[in-house]
Parts: sequence; C-alpha cells; structure tokens
Amino acid sequence: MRRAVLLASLAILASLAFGQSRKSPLDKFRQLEEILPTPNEYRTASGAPGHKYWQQRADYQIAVELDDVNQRILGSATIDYHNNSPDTLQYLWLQLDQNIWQKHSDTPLTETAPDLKRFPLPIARRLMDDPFDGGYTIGAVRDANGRELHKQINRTMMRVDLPSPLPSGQSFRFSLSWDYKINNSKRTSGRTGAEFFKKDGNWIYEIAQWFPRMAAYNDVTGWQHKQFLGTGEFTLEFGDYQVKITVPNDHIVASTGVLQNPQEVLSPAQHQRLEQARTATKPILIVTPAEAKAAEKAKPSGKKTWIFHAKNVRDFAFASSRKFIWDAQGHNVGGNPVMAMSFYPNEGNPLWERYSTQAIIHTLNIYSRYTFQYPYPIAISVNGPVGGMEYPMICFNGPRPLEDGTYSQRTKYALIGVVIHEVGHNYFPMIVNSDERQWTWLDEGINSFLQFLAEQEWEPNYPSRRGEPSTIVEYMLSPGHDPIMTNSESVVALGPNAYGKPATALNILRETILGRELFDFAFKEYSRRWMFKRPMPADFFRSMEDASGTDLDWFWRGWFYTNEHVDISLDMLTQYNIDTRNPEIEKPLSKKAKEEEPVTLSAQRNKPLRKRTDDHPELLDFYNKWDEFAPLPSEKKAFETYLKELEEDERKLLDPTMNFYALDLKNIGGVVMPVILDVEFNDGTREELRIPAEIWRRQSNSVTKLIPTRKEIRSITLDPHLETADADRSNNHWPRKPVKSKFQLFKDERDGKRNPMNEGKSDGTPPPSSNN
Amino acid sequence: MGRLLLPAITSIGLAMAHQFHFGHIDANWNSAAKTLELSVRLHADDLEQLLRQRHGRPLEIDRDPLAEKLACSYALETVGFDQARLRCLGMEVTTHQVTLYLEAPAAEPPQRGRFRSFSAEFPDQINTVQLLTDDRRTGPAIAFLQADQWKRLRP
Ligand SMILES: [Zn+2]
Repeated sequence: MRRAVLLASLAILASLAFGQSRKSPLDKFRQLEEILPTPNEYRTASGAPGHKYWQQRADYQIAVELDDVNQRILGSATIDYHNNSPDTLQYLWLQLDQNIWQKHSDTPLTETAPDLKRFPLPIARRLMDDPFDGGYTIGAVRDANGRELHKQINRTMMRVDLPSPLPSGQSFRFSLSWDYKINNSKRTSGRTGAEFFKKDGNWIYEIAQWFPRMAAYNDVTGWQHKQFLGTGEFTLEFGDYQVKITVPNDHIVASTGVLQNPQEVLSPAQHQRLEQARTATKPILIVTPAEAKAAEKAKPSGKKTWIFHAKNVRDFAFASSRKFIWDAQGHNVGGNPVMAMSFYPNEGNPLWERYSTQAIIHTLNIYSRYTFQYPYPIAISVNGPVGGMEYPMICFNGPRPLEDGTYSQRTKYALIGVVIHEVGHNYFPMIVNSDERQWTWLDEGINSFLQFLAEQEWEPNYPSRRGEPSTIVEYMLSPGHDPIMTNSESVVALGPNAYGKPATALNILRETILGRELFDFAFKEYSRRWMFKRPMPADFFRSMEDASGTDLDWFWRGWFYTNEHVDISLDMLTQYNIDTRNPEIEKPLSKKAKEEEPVTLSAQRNKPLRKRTDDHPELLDFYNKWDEFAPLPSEKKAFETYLKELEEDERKLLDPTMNFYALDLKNIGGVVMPVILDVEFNDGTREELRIPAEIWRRQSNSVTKLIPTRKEIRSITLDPHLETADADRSNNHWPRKPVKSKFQLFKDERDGKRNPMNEGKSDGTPPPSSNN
Repeated sequence: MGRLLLPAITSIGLAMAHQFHFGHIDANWNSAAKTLELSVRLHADDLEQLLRQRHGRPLEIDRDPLAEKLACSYALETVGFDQARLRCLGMEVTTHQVTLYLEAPAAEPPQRGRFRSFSAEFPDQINTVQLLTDDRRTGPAIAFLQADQWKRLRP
C-alpha cells in the first residue's frame, strides 16, 4: 500500500469521486433519443400506447380435417379482416409459413455450407434433390359474394388484391381453402409436425402455423411481411376463432380455445371426469393410461368433429392423437377460473403425470404475480414431436423418460423448465404481442427472465439455465458477437443472444440497479400497458424508465445496443491521512516514515566501516546532534495561530485517526455498471459499498473512488455476490488473489468421487444408497 | 478432391423455443508441465441430442455409461490445436452444461486452432477459444463461426 499525505483541504473532502484521465470520446450516458423512434400519437414518450393507438383485427372461422392416413391437413376458412388503421388498404398480406417446406424455398437456398467432413442427413437430402415438399396448395380466394380475388404468392407471403380499396374503419370478408403434407418430425423437424411410433403404428400430431394467417399491419412497419426463413417467429393480429377440427373418431384433440361440443366428442365418463376436474385439488385423469393403451390397439370407425372457440387470441394451434392420456385440474388465477391440462402418450410417464399440469399451474401463479392475471380459460401442455413451442393457450413440450420409464435428472428439469417457459409464452408474446419476426429477444428474453423467477420458486436451488449473471460471461466475451438489438433472422448464437443475455440483463436490472420494488412496479406497468397490444423495444425501454423514475439509457445502451462486456478492475489502493499541521502529531509521523524507509545496499555495506568522526569526535557539532523531528517552538506557535482561524466544526476535521483510501478502478470491458465493494478492515469487520453506475458518467474508462474511514483496510473484493456479470474475477481483489482454474479443480478431484448419477438408473426416487 | 462422409444423423431441427448454439474452450498452456490443458464447454441439450442421433438411441448424457466416451470422441473430432495429440481426461455434466477436459503435451503455446463442435448442425453456432498461459489470459477470446476452419490464434 502506498502511503501519502492528504492536505486538509475541505474542497477535496467534498469530492468523493474524481476522474483521472481524459474523458472517453463516447459518452456512455448520452441519451437514447438519437436512436429511439420519435414518439407520436400512437406511441408516447413515456412508453405507453398513445391516444390514437390502433391495431388491426382478424376473426377466423375455420374447418380443418386431419388426414391420419396420408398425414395431410385440408382446411378452409372465412376471414373477417377489420381495418382499424387510419389508412385505406389496397390489398391484404397473409403469411404462408408452411412454404418454408416448399421445394426450392429460400430457407435451404440461403443455408450456408456446413462442415463438409460430416453433415446432417436432411441437408444431404436437399442436396441430393429429394427434399420434403410440404408447401401450401392454396385454392381460390373469394369475397363474400363468391367472386374470385386475384392473389400473388411471394414465397412465405401471399397478397390478396381487394376488389375495392378498404377504407379506415371498414371490414372485409373473404374465404379460401388449402392443403399441405405434414412434416414427419423424424426427418424434418420444426415447430409443428407428426411423430410416428413404430411399435404401435400410431401418430401424434402437433399442428401449428397450419392456416394462412393475416400478416400484421401496424404503425411501425406497415405490413410486416418480412419473409419467414425459419428463425424469426410470428407477428400476428388478435381475433376470435371458431374452429372445427375433424379427426379419426378415436383421437383426442387438445386445442387453443374452449371445447364447444364435449357431449359429442367425449364419452359420458370422460365428460363427467372433465367436469369433476374443474374443482379438483390435483390433476384428474380424463383419459387414463389404460384407455390410451387400448386406443392404440384399436382402429377408428369413422370421424369426429371437435369444435373450439377462442376469444382474443393472436393464433391457433392444436394436437391430436389416439395415444393421448389427458389430465386436468381447474385453477383459480386471481378470480379467473382456468383449466390446466396436459396431453401425453404413455411414453411420457412417469414424468408427465407428475410434473406437467403442476408446472402449468405454477407458471400461471408466478407469471400473473409479475404481470397481469392470466386472462384465458385454458392452459395446455402437450407431449409430442416438438421440443418446445408456444401458441395461445397451448404449447408443445418434448422431454420424455427412456423407454424403460426411468429418467435422468437433466430430463426432469428439462421438462419442468420447458413447460414453465412455453406456458409462460402466453404472457409474452401471445398477450403482450411483440413482433417476433423483428425482435426475438423482446419475448424470449423477457420470458426467459420470468422463467428464471418461476423456477427459483419451484424448489430450493433449482438448476436454472439462464438468469444468473455468471452464465452469460463467456458469451459476452466472444469477439464480434451481435448486440441484442439485432434482427431475429440475422442473430448468431440465438440462445445466448436473444434468451440468455436479455434475461440476465433484466435480472441485474432488478437485483442490482433498480431493486426489486422499483423494477417489479415498472415491469408490471409495461406488461399491463401492452397487454393485448403490440409493443416495440422502445416502448419497453421507455416504460421501464417512466415507471421506475430512473434514467436507464446507459443500461440499455451497454447491454442491448453494444457487444461490450462487463469487466471492472480494482487496480490500486492508496492510503492518505489528514495533514493536521500539528507538529506534535506530524513530526513523529514523519520520523516513523523515515525510519520505515528501506536502507540502501551501499548504506548497509558501509555501516560497519569505521568513520573518521569515530576517531575525531571533535568533528561533531550541533547539526550532528539535532533531532530534525523534534517540534520547534515556532512551529507550535504557528499551529496555535492556525487553529484560532478555524471554526469549531472545521477543527474537528483535523482528525489524525481518519484514513482516506483512493481506490483506482478501471473499466476494461466497456459496459458501465455499478461498483459493488466488499471492504474488509484490519479489525476483522466488513462493510459493503454499493456505488451506482453513475460514478462512470464523466469518465467511463477509469475513475478513482475515495473511501474515508477510521479503520484500516485489509482487503477489498469487487462484485462479491457475483451480481454484475464481471468477466474477469482475477482483477476483482485487492490485494490480488489467485483463482484456481476449472481444469485444475477437475484434475484434483478426478481420482476422488464419481458422479452418483452415473452409478445407476433414476426413476425420480433417490439413488439406492439413500433408500432404507 | 474432398470426400463427403454422410453419417446417419438427422437434423437437430429448425429453430425451437430453446436455443443455445455457443461453445467455449479455455485453452491453458501450462509452462511448467509443458502441457496444453483444455476445458471444452458445450451445451448439454445440444450434445445429448447429437449423441442420440448419431448412435440411434435415446441416451441420457448425465447417466449413460457410454456418454463420457462418446462425448470425448466428439470433442476430439471437432477440436484441434496445432499437432497436439489430445487425450480426453473426462467429462463433467451439470443440468445444462457439459465440460470435457482434454490434455496434450505441448512444448509451446498453440499457434493454430480448430473448434467446430455443432458447426454442421447449427448455422448460427459460435465457438470461442480463450488462450491462457499459466491460467492468465493472454489476449481476447477468438471466435469460430460456421465457415471457420483452422485459424491462427496469435497475431
Ligand atoms: Zn421461448
């Protein structure tokens, strides 16, 4: 530790933090207005919908048949499109997402070369010109009078030309029909598909993006008809759906919406169990495992049509199979009765019967607490070929035990985690209807953040994948990675970019920057403002600032608009003491300092040499005997005069026991963040200092922080609770501390214990050693 | 002319609601032991799915007796540093992450590297290598994108 003397200048005491070097050319705190869109009457400067906010609406009446023999979808629809915009429309755009599986679709065409030493079979199939052809065949589009309308298909988009311009405030009804081949998920996987079970010859269908859906028309993008390439999900309009789903009469259908004709499609026993489930306190089986097993072996004797109605949803999906077990439990979410239901084959047990419906209810409870009450009457989780995908009121989740019914710990948490995540998507983006084609993070990042909160309330120490700052550090260190504010289709490493990093950022915003109370209020405000509306990133940034009363532009800038990382280094600690000007105090201190100076090498070697003054003491005079550190009467007098000039409170400041520590901090990573310090004193006590990020506002690359204390500092640790995603922990200690590498830890432990999970199977009960 | 090898694996999928597609290696040159020590971190879901498809059975990476051997051989196949003769010391699995520990004798810090795990499966995969000497970082991390083959690790 360097020791220096601080002049008792009151001006310096008042300045607790001061910069050292030149101001960096980029002001990390400059306001975001230069980047964000100018507020207007549709979207306000506070981040709320404006007084003229509008959105379009589309109501659908659909009849669809699932062909279980040829794995085809055959549909027809009547769509009522309501033009609530202030504009007159000449044409309408619809999305044909299924066309990414057209022959010669842009998706494979724009794929880049994989590792040519070893590449996956579907890519090989495409190269060998045997691609799966699953694009739409679209029949005639007709208006309400049966007149055929001109249509133009542009890959995954279709334009329908209106017979006459559609003015603001008017509606237009039209009909169309279509069919397509359903993808076999074993060969071509995706968000929708069919899974074949060889041993019983049956299929599970999870059907999504299965009808021509109205593209969004809004005040920000106009028509959102950016082509679907496979990553940027959907931007859709809200509406009411009446859907008739015809399937083999031994199928069980799970769907968005409320079943309208249970008496026609369910057996009396099933119908009765369903009613019973509404008030049950645990999941009730509507179709039992034995009934599902029996259905697997039988053949259908005809068809059945299941009718579902859904109000105010942005999309509609369903699943169908004779293999489904079905359980349900009614749950009251803040006054709204919701049926939480799970559909899964026997292959899903024992995991699914234990966790799926429970996880749905848990998600509704936690998410509703942080946002708004779940407004829909249904929440469904289905097990089938899709690994994890969300639609209104229904989601598809993949994890399953092995064939022998045992499962690993990872599989268990994969299932609970994915159910929470996908059910959670009801809130973002199914209800807070953000534009996924443009911004994946605006729903995935927010949803992954809430998933983390829900998981942490599932059981103690739940192993969450995302949320804790340390989990994102390696990604943030990767050179040239995309800022979060990157279009969905262009993002590289979508997982850490659009899920992990924003989830971590929001967690840090909540825990470290705003605190839970301010954050939770602002986050709820954002959710409520944009419930059943379409927010853009700026609306989120502005709402969070508006409701928390905090300028967060520096935070959005660092975390969302740059690819910098967090790395603050504790470089140097210098101790200063007050110059009291009292010779009785200062002179002994100077003496001590001099005595503590090291003796030079020459001086050490010269010391034993006999000196001339040893033989001739007459050479010694006054100056040889004078103690330069003894206070002189004139100095004492000068001090007394000085004291008289000071006011009483100024005199108190001349406290020789006060220490001033100047802590030099360097911002290596670039992102400005709060400085969290754990200060340990020589007397063994500790103190935590939480300095807001604004310490960097004049100098974003290096600052010095002054710490006044009566104690002596022994050590300082930066980011002691690992809350800031600091990327280099080796420079977080003063004095420096070595950090042991993971490799060394592994080698040290290698010959020790084995992982208990590798010792045997787990069926969800503790390992045998802990059984009695 | 190169020859293409087609293994019997299917697509890991178009985009799903769960994504990862990021790998990382801490590549430490231990100057005293003259060894290169690698900690290779891959996402457990991605690796498990890949091993399932390659080996045609639904193995679980955190309890399958063969998982460590298969994961090691995948790491050795997709990771390289100079001519180093890497051997796999073992694997650690947590709920979401797999770390494979590889080691090779190395008289000097590595000059060239290759990190192609999942670059065949995910066009948006990024892998990064952090070089260290005696556990101290020697510079910024180096990124490997899908098209990157062997790359110089030092200027
Ligand atoms: Zn998601």
